[in-house]
Amino acid sequence: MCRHVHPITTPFRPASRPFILLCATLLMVLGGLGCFGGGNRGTGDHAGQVNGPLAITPASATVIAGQTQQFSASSPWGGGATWSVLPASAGSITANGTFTASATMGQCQIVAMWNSDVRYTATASVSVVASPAPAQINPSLVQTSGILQTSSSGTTRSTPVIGEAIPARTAATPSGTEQVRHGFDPPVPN
Amino acid sequence: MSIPSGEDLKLTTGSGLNLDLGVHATWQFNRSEDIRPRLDLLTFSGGHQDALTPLVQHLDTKVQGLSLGTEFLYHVGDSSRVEPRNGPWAVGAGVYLIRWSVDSTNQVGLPGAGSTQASGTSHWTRMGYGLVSSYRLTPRLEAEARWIASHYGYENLPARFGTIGLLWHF
Repeated sequence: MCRHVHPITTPFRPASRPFILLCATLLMVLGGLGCFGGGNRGTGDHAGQVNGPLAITPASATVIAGQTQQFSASSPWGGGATWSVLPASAGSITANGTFTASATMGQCQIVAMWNSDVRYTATASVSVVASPAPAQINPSLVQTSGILQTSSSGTTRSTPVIGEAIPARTAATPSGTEQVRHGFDPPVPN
Repeated sequence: MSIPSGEDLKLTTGSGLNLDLGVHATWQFNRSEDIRPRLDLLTFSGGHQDALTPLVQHLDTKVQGLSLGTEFLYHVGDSSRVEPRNGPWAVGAGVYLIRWSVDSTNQVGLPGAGSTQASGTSHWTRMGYGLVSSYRLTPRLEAEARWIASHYGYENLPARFGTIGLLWHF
């Protein structure tokens, strides 16, 4: 006598499996289309988009040959930058962003690469110009008026020398009184 | 094997297939439900970008991700089957903690004026969320497909990728 044994099973619901697979497939398709994830489309991994989150200050500068200019790089997330000068013959720049122009005049680029993620770069333009000629006073161009003036010749000097005595000056006022001053007028009290 | 699906990640990783390696454990709740903790190393091939303006720039990047996560799997199929589970198909979802690493070499130059270059590695740890589908080929061999969404980078860029893999159950 043949006897068939049927395993004990739970009722099969044919609608549940296609429904779940459909939902999973739909979610994967939506995900593949970019419907999830959010986030920001940024510039860090895009070559050619410099001066994005990394900013360099000043963005442009004119520097006299042989003189220095301080640059700084900042990002929203902090951190320092690695500095370079292009072309290198235009000058040098220290690790903290102090640029020293060489004697060669022309244009150059300051490049900062963010240390925390070197994909971020920022640039600044620099014009290196010649230093101006020293000022000359031509005695023939000095005019006199009612007030006694003294004239001098030679090269003027704008930088004080520490320890050097300031020469006294004499002047005649309309009232006829004479004052002796030492280089500058005292501040007027408020 | 994994393949990036988002444009942001493709720029950094390239768009080819990449080899992954991982281990997992399975905790069977009942006939239908599994919890699967897993650790995966995602190694993406390198990406390369060139730009001519405003400066000549060559950017090489290589991305890795170390993913620690847990997946919930629901077995679907013919429940009349006695072994091993309800059926060979399973679908589910996962949550992951991914440590992203990007090796970068950035070369910037001016035509005729030389160039400068910097290299470095950046790391970020971000959450990831995924959908999982698997099919039990044999009692020990299982094929799976996953789609995972995460973010990476200082700007929190989208990092979406899919994986296909074979799991061997010891």
